[in-house]
Amino acid sequence: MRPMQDKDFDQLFKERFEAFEVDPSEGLWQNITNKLDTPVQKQKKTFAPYWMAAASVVLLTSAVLWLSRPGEVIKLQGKSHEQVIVNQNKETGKEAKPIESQIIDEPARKTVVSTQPEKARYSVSRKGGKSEVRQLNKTALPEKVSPQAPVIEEVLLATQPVSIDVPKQRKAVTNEGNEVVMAKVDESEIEDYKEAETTSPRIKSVGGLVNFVIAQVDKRDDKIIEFKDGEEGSTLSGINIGPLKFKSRSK
Amino acid sequence: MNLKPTFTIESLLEGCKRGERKAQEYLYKALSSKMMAVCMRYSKDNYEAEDILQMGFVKVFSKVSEFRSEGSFEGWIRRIMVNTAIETYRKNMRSMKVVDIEEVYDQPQSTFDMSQLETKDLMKLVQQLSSGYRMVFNMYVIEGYSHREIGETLGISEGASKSQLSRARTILKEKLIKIEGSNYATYAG
Repeated sequence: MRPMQDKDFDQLFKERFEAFEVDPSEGLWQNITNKLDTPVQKQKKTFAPYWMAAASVVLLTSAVLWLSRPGEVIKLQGKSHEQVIVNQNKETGKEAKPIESQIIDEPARKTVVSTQPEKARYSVSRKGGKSEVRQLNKTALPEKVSPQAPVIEEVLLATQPVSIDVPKQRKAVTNEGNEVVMAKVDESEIEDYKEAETTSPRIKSVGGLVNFVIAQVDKRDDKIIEFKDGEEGSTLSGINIGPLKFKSRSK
Repeated sequence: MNLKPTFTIESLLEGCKRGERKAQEYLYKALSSKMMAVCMRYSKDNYEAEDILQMGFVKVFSKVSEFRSEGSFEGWIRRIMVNTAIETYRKNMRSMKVVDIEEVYDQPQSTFDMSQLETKDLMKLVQQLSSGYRMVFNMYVIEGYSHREIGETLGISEGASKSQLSRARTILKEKLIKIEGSNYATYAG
């Protein structure tokens, strides 16, 4: 037998197959027309993945919303702190105000005022001349303020009991032309507080999330299950199922 | 006198684009036996071939509007058949565990007198190849794909395509020798 090249071998098959014809079975055309006449079914099939995609998007968004929920709750906590802070500032404001009113009589107390936070001092110094206040204060002053009006307002504010709810107090503070800067100061301080507050208890891990959820349900000291964030992720640090209790010491 | 309407395949194109059932039917009648042969090369039996043929024609009729008259209409239809066959193979690959390694020993290269053989016998030999070898053999030898293209399409390396082709050839040659031997035996007897 003569050696045969692969090329020639391939060519033999190619020639034979390209000239080859076989009739398919009779019913095949009918099957094809049936398929062509029912495109709805085909569409249904192709739409199934879209439904799945839509469903997974919904699932994902709800999961994201759920996961971001703890963050929001912490923000609310921050707000409650804010309220406290505003109260504190209210007190300092009250402290400042009598001083201010005294300043008009006793300029010597200015030194005392300087021990107050810087911003308080600003407001005091502006207190001296009303015209200056308007130039420095870029936030719009309410119309024309008669020279005596702010003082009266201050006095009113000062005599107001602390128990007044916070938003009102803040409103009063900001409405008061001369106090606007102080209000701003408070805000930045609050911002600092907020940052300090939100960074520390943020939920960093799955364990933290579980702790948070458990904490909402289980108000006991020893939770039914508790995780601790360690260097190598969260570890189980406590279990309390009635008689069965476990708590890791290193807490 | 032949009163049966005769159409060129290209002339049926417009009717098919409009979705006319008659034009579709004439196209099917004109090309089904040729395309059946294409599908058979890629299948292990005629049932599988007809499945591919049916899917292929449904695709042809639903995608005919995408056909740009750059090549021949028939060539486009043939490519759809081949692509449908490849898709089917890939789908089956996922559900099928591959037992591809056949013990093959290189046969001394010899010439074959295939004129004695009918094409349907050759077809049987190709259909008896394991599906991977059959794909590579068809795509390379008949359709003229390069090994790189085959590798990309089937998700195998270029080298694997080459070695599968050479194994496919070896198996076919081995079987041809057997057939020739038995033919000789019948002649002798």
